[in-house]
Amino acid sequence: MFKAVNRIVNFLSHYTSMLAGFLILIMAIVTTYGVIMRYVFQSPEYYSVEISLMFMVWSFVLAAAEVEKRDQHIKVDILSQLMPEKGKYFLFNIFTPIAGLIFAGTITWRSYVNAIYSLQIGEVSATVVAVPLFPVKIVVSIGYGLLCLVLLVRLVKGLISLAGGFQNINGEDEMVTPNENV
Amino acid sequence: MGIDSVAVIAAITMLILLLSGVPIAYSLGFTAVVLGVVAFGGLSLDKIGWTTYHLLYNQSWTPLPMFTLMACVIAQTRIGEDLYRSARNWLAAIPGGIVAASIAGQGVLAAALGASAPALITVGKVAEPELKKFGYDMGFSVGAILCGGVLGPLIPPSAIMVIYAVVANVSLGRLLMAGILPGILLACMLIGVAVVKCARNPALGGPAEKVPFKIKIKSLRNVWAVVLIMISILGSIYFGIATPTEAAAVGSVVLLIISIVAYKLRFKGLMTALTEAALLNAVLMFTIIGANLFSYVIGSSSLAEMLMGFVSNAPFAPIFIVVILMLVLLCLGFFLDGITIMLLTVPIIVPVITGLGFDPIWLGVLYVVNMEIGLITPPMAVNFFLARNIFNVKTRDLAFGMLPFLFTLIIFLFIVLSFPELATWLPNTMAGR
Repeated sequence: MFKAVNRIVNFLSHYTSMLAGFLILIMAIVTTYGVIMRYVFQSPEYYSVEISLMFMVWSFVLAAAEVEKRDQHIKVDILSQLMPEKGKYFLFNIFTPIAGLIFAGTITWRSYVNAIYSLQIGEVSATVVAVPLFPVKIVVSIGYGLLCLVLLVRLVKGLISLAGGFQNINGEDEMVTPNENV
Repeated sequence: MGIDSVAVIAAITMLILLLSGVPIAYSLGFTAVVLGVVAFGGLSLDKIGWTTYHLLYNQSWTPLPMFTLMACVIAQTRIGEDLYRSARNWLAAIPGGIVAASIAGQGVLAAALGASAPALITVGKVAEPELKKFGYDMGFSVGAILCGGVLGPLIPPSAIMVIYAVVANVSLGRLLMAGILPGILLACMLIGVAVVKCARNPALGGPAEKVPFKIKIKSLRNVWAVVLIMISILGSIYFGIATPTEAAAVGSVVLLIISIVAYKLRFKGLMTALTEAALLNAVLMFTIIGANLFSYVIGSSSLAEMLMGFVSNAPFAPIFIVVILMLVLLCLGFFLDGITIMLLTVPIIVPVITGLGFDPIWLGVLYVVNMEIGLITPPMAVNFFLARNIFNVKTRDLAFGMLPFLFTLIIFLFIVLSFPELATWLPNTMAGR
């Protein structure tokens, strides 16, 4: 059961991060199109800016889960170098996911509330195109929600290992060690 | 609990988490969420909910993902290697030629990359076998290349400058222009030091080999791509034809076309570049959002005002305050990550420095140099350890080898500090001012 959840979460975060990359590419192409229309064809259009703003938000939230999965965050680990192995293990595999869950979980919940409110009042952007803002905002909630799932998987893995008396303490499984990406 | 005491507790908690190795974004975000609720109750939850959307649905940020896209596309092609090789062909005959070529290569590559680590990796990969082949002193050579990494974010385009421009609320176009002259000066200074040191002591690294003139000219053929992109980006911003977002977008599209046509970038490489760009962008955004939430807890207290009052009543000349600030930032750079330092200090420092009558654009250039020095000075030195691992040199050798160049960097910092015109002259001649 846990393995199946793990696989689904990995699958989702992998493909949403790829989608985020595509959105950046489309942002670049659409903006270039806008420049060409303005200078070459003398006919400025107004939706390239809207699209790039929308994609700016989405490209971040859709890649957030994969950043956590690959453990690519910016970190400073001066104090942890002095800690014993077990302390380090607890900090990285139990405390960090909990801190992350409190942070990302709060954002998931509040941005969902925010998006629903936006839908109820029919909120649109204050520009000529008047883009409905509900889709922009609900994706924020979805992206952070996926991040929460990745964090939850990591926490459960940490707890299972803790219950089994630190079997994976040397990280042969998929445990996160502090210096993996350095 | 009063807001000031909450702010102090927040700052201490955040620092402990951050120094323990909890990801910076979570250290900032977690502290802000918990202490925000303690200080403001349910009201802070609303702020936490809409921050991501409000912060990112903003045109000031849009150059950032495009700059990261450019960096990731270049990393997937041989553009960087080609740049290094042509610099090498031109400089191989002088003392310390390979080191000089690596710095020059990084400088030109910086004009398309906008960050120091990818330039270091690209140049390092191709320079390493050559340094060994011609018997260069590795500690000295890698030290020089490591310090040359500072050119990455200084010469536009620059991801770090996007962050400074948004947080300090200054024009990104002007800031990018301000980096050009100091960048060229620094490249010359670093190359000069390398050449002089090698001429005096050939054991560090003598002339490599004479390259026939015909091959020199022929190798320039590979540089045109980057030069074209550089001119299209900087030129369009300078003459006010395009906003930085538009210039970055056109630049990355042109780069992609060149990569596909001339450098055979294929689907797999493109997908890797796109995913890497999204992740790199998200890593930065995470920290930015965490810092924004955290700053609001600190910003709601009177700590910033106290600092401002203290500084404006200080009995020194204003320039001394900037000097002291630079020294404090250098010290912070030993222990903290540069982007975090920038995100947390700029909102407090810039109003103070602007209030003293200094140009925030100039301060931005100083910040960038300062932050990059932080990246190469241990214990918290991402680039230092990166270079050590790529080139496989001993920590001790590298630390001693980089000293003359680190010293050059600090002198350079004081030159920019003493002559603000170096940074501000070019942006002041821009169109549309």
